[in-house]
Amino acid sequence: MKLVALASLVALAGVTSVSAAAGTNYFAYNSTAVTTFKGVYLAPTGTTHWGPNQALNDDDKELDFGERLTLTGLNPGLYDVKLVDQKGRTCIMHRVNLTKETSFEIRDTSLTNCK
Amino acid sequence: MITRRAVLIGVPLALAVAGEARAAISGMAYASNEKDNTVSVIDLAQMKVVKTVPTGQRPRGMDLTSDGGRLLVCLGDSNRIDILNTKTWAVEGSINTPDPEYAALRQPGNNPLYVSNENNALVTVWNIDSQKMLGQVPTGTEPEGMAVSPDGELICNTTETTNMAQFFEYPTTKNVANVLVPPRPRWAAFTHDGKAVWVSSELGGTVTVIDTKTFKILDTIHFAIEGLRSTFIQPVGISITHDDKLAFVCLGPANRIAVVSVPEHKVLSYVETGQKVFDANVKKYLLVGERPWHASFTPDEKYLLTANGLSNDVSVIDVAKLRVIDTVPVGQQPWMVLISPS
Repeated sequence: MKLVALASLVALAGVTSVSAAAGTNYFAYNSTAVTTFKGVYLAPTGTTHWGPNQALNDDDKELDFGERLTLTGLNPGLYDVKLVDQKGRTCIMHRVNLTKETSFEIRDTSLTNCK
Repeated sequence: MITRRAVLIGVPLALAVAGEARAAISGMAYASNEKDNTVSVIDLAQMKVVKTVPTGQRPRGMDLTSDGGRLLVCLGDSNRIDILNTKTWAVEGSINTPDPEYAALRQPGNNPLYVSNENNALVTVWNIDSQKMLGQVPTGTEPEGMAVSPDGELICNTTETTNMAQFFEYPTTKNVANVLVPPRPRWAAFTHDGKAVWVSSELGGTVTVIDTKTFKILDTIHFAIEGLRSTFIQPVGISITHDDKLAFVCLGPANRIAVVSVPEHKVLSYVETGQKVFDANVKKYLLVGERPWHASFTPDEKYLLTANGLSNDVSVIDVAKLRVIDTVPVGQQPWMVLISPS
């Protein structure tokens, strides 16, 4: 029972860390050669508590290659990032560290596990 | 900060070219590092970074006064352009303007400064001595490249989303022509005789040559590289030699610079910034220089330096030999490189 309660707290903390508004601006750089993303979701590493679609923060609601996306509502921490490209393929980047860095890059090598 | 990757690539390459003859170069080059919020100062004689200057947030476009004494750095996230003294690196003044991406000085006289304000669909005009705004001009969506003709009478701005090259007269800033070009025009460069302007289209994969008297399209230059998907060919920066014979076009993720005959509008060859270099120490081929977006010549035009955004370095191309002869690690995501005129 205690374990369940603890797990719930951890999960809740995860949700909070994604949804809580923070003062720092975070960014994702799309450094792929030709891939545009219509979905960019972050969840605390090891969870599937995906936050809102951050791609909607962009003017055209997509993260184009060569473009930078402002990420909102994040606190420092480790995140998994779910990327959805224009063809609907989904790719996961694991353990993106936004503890010290305020940005991360999506490269072509980040897209090797897309389904 | 230099990434580990940049160091691993840069050191063996430096070893590989250490014995290669190179004419003496003097002066300084400046690379704006978008992700690091710094400008790297490269001593061309040593071909290494001798100073890293902290800047405001997101340094991208830059321009230099004609004597090289002041470097103007567009700081997109700080909503200003800082004017840096290139001897002391003190900030001599700031122009407060929203989301500046590129800026171009009118010559001669170092004034005014034309700024593309990306998110405001404006070109703003500034006096850099008083840092006062002289005017503003509405543009299409997402203004990008800024260029001023050699005689200072014509201003060209490219609008990334509306796919136009827009032309304005000096000093009225009257809009005299709008020319549709292929998607995502990023950069404009006038030929030195002022007769044409070359506009790169990143998504279109082309360079459009426009007559500056009639504003008619003279030609559209296409690029094709064997073994490379056409979508990887994304032209951005264009550097034209002073004799208007050669243009060097940065092709982004193609990791190459196209060498184009200016009179014929014809691609002559491609220089790989990601050139394969044999290193006697490590016995393997190395790739350097990923995603070049902008380049600048040394004053004698013997060398061309490219800012490579993904490999965090600057490639040095021997213009006569058309090959990369050196690589200088700089900060993260170098956007543009400029070279002091003296």
